[in-house]
Amino acid sequence: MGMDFLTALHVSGTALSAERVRVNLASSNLANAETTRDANGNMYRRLDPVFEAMPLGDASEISPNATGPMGVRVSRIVADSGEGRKVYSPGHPDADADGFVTFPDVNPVHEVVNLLSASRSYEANATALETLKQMAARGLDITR
Amino acid sequence: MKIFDATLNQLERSLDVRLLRHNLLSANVANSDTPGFRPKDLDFTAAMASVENHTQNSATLQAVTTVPGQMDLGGVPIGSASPQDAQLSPKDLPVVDIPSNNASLDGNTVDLDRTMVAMAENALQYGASARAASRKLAILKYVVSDGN
Repeated sequence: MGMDFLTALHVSGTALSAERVRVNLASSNLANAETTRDANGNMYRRLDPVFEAMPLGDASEISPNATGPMGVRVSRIVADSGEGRKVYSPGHPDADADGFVTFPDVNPVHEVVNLLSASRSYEANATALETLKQMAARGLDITR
Repeated sequence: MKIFDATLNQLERSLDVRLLRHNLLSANVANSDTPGFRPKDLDFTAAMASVENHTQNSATLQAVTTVPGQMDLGGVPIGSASPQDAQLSPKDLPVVDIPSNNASLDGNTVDLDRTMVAMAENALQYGASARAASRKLAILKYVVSDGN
């Protein structure tokens, strides 16, 4: 019938993976809130994932206004383009000529809220998977 | 009278429709953070009707004569029935956009709470259909074993 248990498994699977990327990026931003340089000596820029609905199934079913179930994917990861915040700290090894050190535009509160939200979404998708597993078990019970 | 009567067919269809509905609902949950995503749902009653039409039009196994002299049971050979066993896909079913007037800033209108409730309800109904089918088969089993 073109609709099976693997579809929902795939849908929730793509979501778990996308939410994990979001958690990873938020953690990375938090971890680097006080970082003054990256491996190339540039300023660390906070990273954000952009989610995109992804049609599933064979090519014939994929259309811009697909009615079938859609998975989700991280279409791209955007780096913040801000100037960073300047802190006067002349003794710092990464200070510029005027004695200012540039820290990334990371707002810890923002990142933690993002972490919580991603974690809740992850849970919701895990619950959807659990529900699917129960349904599959009920289906298999028919033959008992 | 047929052994596998309409009830079992109905239950089978309802399991299919419930599963598709679960697929759609889990897609809504999966896209609860996707900008601009519009959640979809399935009208169960309409879907059952549409699946019913579909199965009526598709080929079923029938008794056909292969040698002259066999009793003709009026069966149509597979392949000559039309349209034969067309595959049912989600686009044949009444998939609807869930209306919402409280879109978030990014245009996403998924209501996670409603979706999770709908999903739980759907899974319960799936379980009910599965159990009913199981009972139906248990009755047949009872009959074919002479009531033992």
